[in-house]
Amino acid sequence: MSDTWWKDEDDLVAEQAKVLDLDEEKSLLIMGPPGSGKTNLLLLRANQLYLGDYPNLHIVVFGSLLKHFIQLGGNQYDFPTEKIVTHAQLFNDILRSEGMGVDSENLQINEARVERANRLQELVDSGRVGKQFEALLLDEAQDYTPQEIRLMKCLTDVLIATADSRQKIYNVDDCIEVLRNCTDEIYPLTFHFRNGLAICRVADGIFKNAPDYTPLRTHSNYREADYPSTFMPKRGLSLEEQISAMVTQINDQRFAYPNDLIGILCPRNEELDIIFSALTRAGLGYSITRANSKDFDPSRPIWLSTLTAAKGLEFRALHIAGLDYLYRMGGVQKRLIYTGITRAKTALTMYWHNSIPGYLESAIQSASPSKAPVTKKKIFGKD
Amino acid sequence: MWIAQVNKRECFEVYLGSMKMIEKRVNALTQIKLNYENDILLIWDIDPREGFSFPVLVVAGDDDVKSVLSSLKASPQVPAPLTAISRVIGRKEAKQHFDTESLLLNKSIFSVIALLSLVEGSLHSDGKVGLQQQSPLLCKRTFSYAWGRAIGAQVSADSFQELPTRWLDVYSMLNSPAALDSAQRTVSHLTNGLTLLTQLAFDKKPSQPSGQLAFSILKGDKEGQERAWEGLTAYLSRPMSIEAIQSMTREDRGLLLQEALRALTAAKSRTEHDTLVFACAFLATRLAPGRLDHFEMLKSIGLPELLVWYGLYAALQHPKEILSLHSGLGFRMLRDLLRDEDKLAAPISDMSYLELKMIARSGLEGIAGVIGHASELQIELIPYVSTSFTFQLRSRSRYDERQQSFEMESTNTSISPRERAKRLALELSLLAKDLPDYPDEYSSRRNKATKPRM
Amino acid sequence: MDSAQAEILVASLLGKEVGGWRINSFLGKGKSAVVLACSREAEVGAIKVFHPELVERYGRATQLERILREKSLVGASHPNLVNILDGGECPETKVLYIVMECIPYPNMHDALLSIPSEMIPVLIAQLASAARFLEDRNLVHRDIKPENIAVSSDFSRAILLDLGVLRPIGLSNLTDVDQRSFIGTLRYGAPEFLQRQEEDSVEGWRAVTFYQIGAVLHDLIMKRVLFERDSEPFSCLVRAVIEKVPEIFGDNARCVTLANHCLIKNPATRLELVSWDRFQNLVIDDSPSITLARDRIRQRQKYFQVAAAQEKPVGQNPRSVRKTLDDVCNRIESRLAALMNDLQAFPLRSTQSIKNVEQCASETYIHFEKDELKGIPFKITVSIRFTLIDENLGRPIFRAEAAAACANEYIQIEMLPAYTPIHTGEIELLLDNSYLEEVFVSCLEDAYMQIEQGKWPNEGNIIALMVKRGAV
Repeated sequence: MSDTWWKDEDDLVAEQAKVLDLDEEKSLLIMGPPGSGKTNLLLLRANQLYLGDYPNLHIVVFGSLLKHFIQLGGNQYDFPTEKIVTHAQLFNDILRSEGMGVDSENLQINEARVERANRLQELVDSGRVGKQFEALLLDEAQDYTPQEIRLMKCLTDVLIATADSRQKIYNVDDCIEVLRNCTDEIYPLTFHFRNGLAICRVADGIFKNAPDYTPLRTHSNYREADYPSTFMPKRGLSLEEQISAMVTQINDQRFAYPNDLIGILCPRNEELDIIFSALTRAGLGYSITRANSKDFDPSRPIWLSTLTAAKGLEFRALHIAGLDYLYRMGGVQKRLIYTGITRAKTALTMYWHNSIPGYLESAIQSASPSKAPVTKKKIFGKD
Repeated sequence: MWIAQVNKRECFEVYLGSMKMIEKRVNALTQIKLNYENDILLIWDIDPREGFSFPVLVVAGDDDVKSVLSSLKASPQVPAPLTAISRVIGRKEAKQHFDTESLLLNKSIFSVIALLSLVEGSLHSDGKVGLQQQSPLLCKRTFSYAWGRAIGAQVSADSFQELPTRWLDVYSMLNSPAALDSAQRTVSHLTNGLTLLTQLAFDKKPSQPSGQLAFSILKGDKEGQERAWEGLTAYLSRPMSIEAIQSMTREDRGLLLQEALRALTAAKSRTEHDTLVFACAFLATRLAPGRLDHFEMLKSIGLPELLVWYGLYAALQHPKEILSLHSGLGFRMLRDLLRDEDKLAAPISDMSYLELKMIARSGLEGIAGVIGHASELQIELIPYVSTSFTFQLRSRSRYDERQQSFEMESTNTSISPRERAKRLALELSLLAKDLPDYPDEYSSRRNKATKPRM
Repeated sequence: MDSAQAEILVASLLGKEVGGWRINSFLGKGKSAVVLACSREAEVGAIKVFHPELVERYGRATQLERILREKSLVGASHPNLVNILDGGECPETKVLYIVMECIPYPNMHDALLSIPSEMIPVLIAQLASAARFLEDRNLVHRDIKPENIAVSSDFSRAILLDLGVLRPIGLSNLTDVDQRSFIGTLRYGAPEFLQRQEEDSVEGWRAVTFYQIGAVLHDLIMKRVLFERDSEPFSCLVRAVIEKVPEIFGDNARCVTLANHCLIKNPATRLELVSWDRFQNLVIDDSPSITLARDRIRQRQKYFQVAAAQEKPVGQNPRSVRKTLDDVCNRIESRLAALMNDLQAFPLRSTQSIKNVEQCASETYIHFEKDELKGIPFKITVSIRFTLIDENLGRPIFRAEAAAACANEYIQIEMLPAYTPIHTGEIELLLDNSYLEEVFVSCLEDAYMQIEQGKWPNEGNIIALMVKRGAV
């Protein structure tokens, strides 16, 4: 599996290759749209630093799922996969070594996060903890708090971060400004290669009225001839019907993309649970895995995850179901669904029963005009 | 080079270590002349008058090759295997190599053969070794590899005809009957593909649509491809042009292939079956161009010919991409296939096919002492085409116990930790085979020691 | 003229001489004349004698003028046009007559079912050649239809007959054909002709002729008369001619496309799409790549035929134009993305589409980055403009144009050079063919030429790049 997602977009284009020419001691902020190869570049830089004079480094990711995903591809690099850690792990290890570990069991995730940062702050302020690493490489840095960014800067000589403010899905203070201050140079990526045009259109529809939004379509250099992209909205289906529609399509997709990841995302865990057991009953039990669970098995080809946990991942074919519950995701929902949609590389199917937010409805409409691209099925098929 | 024209007796003398009788007749020449009748030609790469050496090449009359070899071998003073030191070839074969203008080969077919050696590798060994687990070692032990070397060496047409039989013959000496059975099927399907590639290498246009498709792919002739393809779509429920297929999404192409495979498994006649094999194989290459993503899936159908043609069409269309797969193993194989062999250098294999046949009459046990690599027997099947075979005398019985029929199971293509472990285990097992067996006493003690823990 | 009238007329003529031609036998009768076999010395022919009463009723002068016009073609021979041998007013009998060569072939209408489809291109090319022969002499046939075309028994030759309604172009003082004789060919009349809105100019009549040839082509491909199902009642047929897009499908994609284009309702669009060459091109062998492209079109068209039939005709309202443009932009962008992927020769790119509903046009700009590795030291911008020129009852016709330039910096779109027309036609035709590919390849080629000639754009300057014009 790793083979495919890794190989796809890393025909390193000139824009990306330049990073290798930059001084190793420079702290960089890599900014770019989804699919522009930020994470790839981060790992490439990590490898360069690791093989060079900065072996004491860590690649810091936000969640453990992203960690697994990167590790899938990470074995093509020279640094050991243990170098990839979550930020919670990174902070906690330092705290524990100072005897100040946070026991997160009785805490809410967010409370624990704040607690860790505060304790570390104390240690840093009191001079007990200083630069521990030669390099820290932060993926999806837009989701950290300004405090966390500043702390990490204190822990390392070189800080490399990737960020895309459009994909910020946690309600924390904006840290892009701090990121700029903590790095020497912004390394912008303009072009992206991951999402097919059909998928870009839906994503662009979501932010079509945002004044500073650059449509994904504009800079897409996706290989449309090699992997013709499709988007299919499926409305008016109960969850049960959504699942049965999904099963048929997934079987065909498994056949078409035997070595690629297929994703199923939902806004809520409740729907995921139902889908998981229904897919197991449908005979897909050996192929599916719950991505944000203890039993997660990254070697399986179909990953189920919430929209939130799916950030940073990418799927050849993606199904986003249970969209009726997107409403409940609050203020970040627009960016959340945007992030979800942009996880799809080639085929995107979206399912809902009664209603979805207006902005999404309109995005879907503008992405599927009256005359849908002709499928050959229609032309030749008996249906 | 140094050449002497001798008779049979003089030839023996030389091999018994005496140059006296012929010393005066050794000439330094730049060209081999084969316009003599009954004599034997001895050829050296260094001057034998300055210090004794065996000829690197012995050219005998076509009907005499065997008798020359067997009479030379009869003497215990002659080194054995003799053909490890001197090539003994017939006049006709020699003419092919030294007297004929070498033809201009279309080198691009070697990429396809390199890939076929990978495909074949995963067809042997009960299909237990997947494409991803192939190694140069395994690929070089294939019939395809031998064939590729034969094209490269531009051997005579007669030799090509001999090649499958000889390869299978050696294979049968070293493997169980069950393994041979599956290898026979595999080789017969490969022979079809390889014969076609040989035609293509010499720029001959094939007569069948399946071959014409390959021909026009190689030529980059889109229209020709469409025409040939049309000839293969007769039994498809939805025949359509390559261009039309290309404009479909991969999922829709997948549906097309699924239909075709259903038709294949339900094929009623030989023609229908064969045509559908080509059609399915080609369709599968259009699903994920430049990749072999559907190899395992096609393997589960249980028709080796499907995989042969899948690999053939895939590599013809996107040689660079296909050879790059699996850390560029294809390129590695290509390197070995394209390596030029000096035709006037000493042989590189352990012995020639003919000599192996002679030795085998008295059992294979003697061979163990003469092979150059652990558990690997290198045989020159036909002149200038040497191939490796797995050689494990003592483990033969173990092989027999195993079910060796053509049974393929789909293996997971991802590199999960489990998969990595499996691969590691396989590599270990191969390594273990290369190690000398422990004395019984020692191994049983070890077993005892580990038992309580288990 | 009824049969009795005809019989009387024939009886009065048999065995006599008209204009020096001896009348031998009866061949047939038309609406206003009888046709008889005749001879003059060794020469044989078919003489058409107009019924004197009818001549008087509709005006002798007009009829005579027509006959003289037809007679003007005596000696002007074309292999696919019936030869006129003689004509005028018989000094003895005072009847009006015209003598033409005797053609022993059935007409195309009767032979329709037996004409093999591989002969269609050659027959149509011949028919068009005859029509063009007339146009070159400033004449228009006005009544081209299968009944007026003879087809040789081996189906290799078509001969355009009945030059009776021949008309000089641009001569509007003449009283026109009587309404009744027109009714018979309403089916094959162009919509503008039917509504008497044709323009009396070479182009105006050419549009009518193209339509009629297209109608004949339709019959040949479909093996049935145009608007067969709408024949009755009369008002249905009129409506069909004006607003129904006929369904045409067949093996020869070029014929199908040409028939579709000939039968386009709007004469201006029709002329934009069809030229005399296209009929002759039917018999020229395609280059392989074009055959393939056409195959592809043929397959697509099967679908669009159905799609068009289902769609209601839309008026030129901004909403429908916007929708059409949105759709077109999406398809152009998708096509370009696939094309760039296929060609693998271009640097990284940004794509941007601008739609102008008022002008019914969309412009898609592709801005290419500099790419030292590819040897392109400047930025290149290519723009593709699609202008909707005719909604054509749900099968819109577009004109495609392109412009390209290179510069050191990002090229402002208003700085682009003038657009070069590429091709006009249905969106599928424009997208599926190699037109767009040619545009991009030619401009990249030109960019390299500029480099080789040392013509690099200066700061703030742009250099126009050549784009290749598509061939029909």
